[in-house]
Amino acid sequence: METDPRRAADARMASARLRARNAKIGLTAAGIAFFAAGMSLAHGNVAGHSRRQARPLAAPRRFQEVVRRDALDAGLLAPAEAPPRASTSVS
Amino acid sequence: MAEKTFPAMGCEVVVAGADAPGVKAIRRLFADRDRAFSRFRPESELNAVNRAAGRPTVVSAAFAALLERSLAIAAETDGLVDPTVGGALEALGYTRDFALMGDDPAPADPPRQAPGWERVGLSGRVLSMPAGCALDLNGVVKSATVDDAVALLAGDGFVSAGGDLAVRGPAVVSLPDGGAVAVVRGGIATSGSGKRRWRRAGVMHHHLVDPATGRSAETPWEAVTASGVTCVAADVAARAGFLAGAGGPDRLDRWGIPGRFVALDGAIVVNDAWAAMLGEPVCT
Repeated sequence: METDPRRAADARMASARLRARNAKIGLTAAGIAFFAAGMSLAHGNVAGHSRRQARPLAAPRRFQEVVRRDALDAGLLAPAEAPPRASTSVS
Repeated sequence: MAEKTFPAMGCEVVVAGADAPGVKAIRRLFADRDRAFSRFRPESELNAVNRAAGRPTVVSAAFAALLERSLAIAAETDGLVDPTVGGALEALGYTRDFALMGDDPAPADPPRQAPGWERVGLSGRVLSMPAGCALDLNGVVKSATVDDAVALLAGDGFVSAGGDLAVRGPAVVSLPDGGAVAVVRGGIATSGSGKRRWRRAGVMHHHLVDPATGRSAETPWEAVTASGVTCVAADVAARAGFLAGAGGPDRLDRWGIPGRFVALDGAIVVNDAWAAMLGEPVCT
């Protein structure tokens, strides 16, 4: 029994198209997986990628507290043991 | 130790311990700051900024630095020392250099409450504040300039501007209503209602304004003297102590700052920190 050459060619074409489509899907999926793996590895290992949520640059709270305390800190006074050379008058 | 005096910022500046080039540099420093921050010079940066209230403005780096410091001080003093009292001072009639002011038969404008330091936004050099808001940075500018001037001294000495004083090396300083104290480190300043005051329609006003009311503060004190690690710290503490009224001595004690309070009746009260540092009884 002879097969119809035209039908055989169509079957081969359909099979080839299926393989090509599967190959495209496979390549796309592999690409996505490769990209995601690369990103997550970079996120975890490259210094430029923050592992925490980004925050505005600011002095640490402790530092700010120290600066504020110093801004309103006492000077050093002692009893006068000589005549005054200057005066603090009302301003 | 040679002393030089010159007028600046509406008061007399005394410089001790500087050579001629040092005095020249200090004089230039005061002149530059006065040009930038005076409320009484129409061309000053401060007045340009006040005229631009209501829209974002780019200010100079020096202006931003001092304003940032003023806002931090306002936060630290719970708004007692507020840089947005410029409009309140104008309403009370303090519109020109004090030397040019006299009693005026016309009444002052209605009191203008300070808009509040929280409404001033400063991001880098970009300033935004509500329309009608007027800054007055005089207090911080004068005392900061005294601190910067002392840093220019080559050796021991002091710089004083209208009673705000900072030292390098000890200096004995006379106090309001008698007495003296040795300032060993930092600065000392006195704030009060005795000098910068004026009458409008027979009503007495002074320059220490309560930001909450826009009126000259009514307190039991004639003058408050405070010590600070810098002249700015001393000046801020003295003003806050004055504006805090009867609670002034306790307020300064909470900050650990020595304060000496001259009451309106002439009585002198010192807070615990002053007594502890100088060995004086709390009331004299």
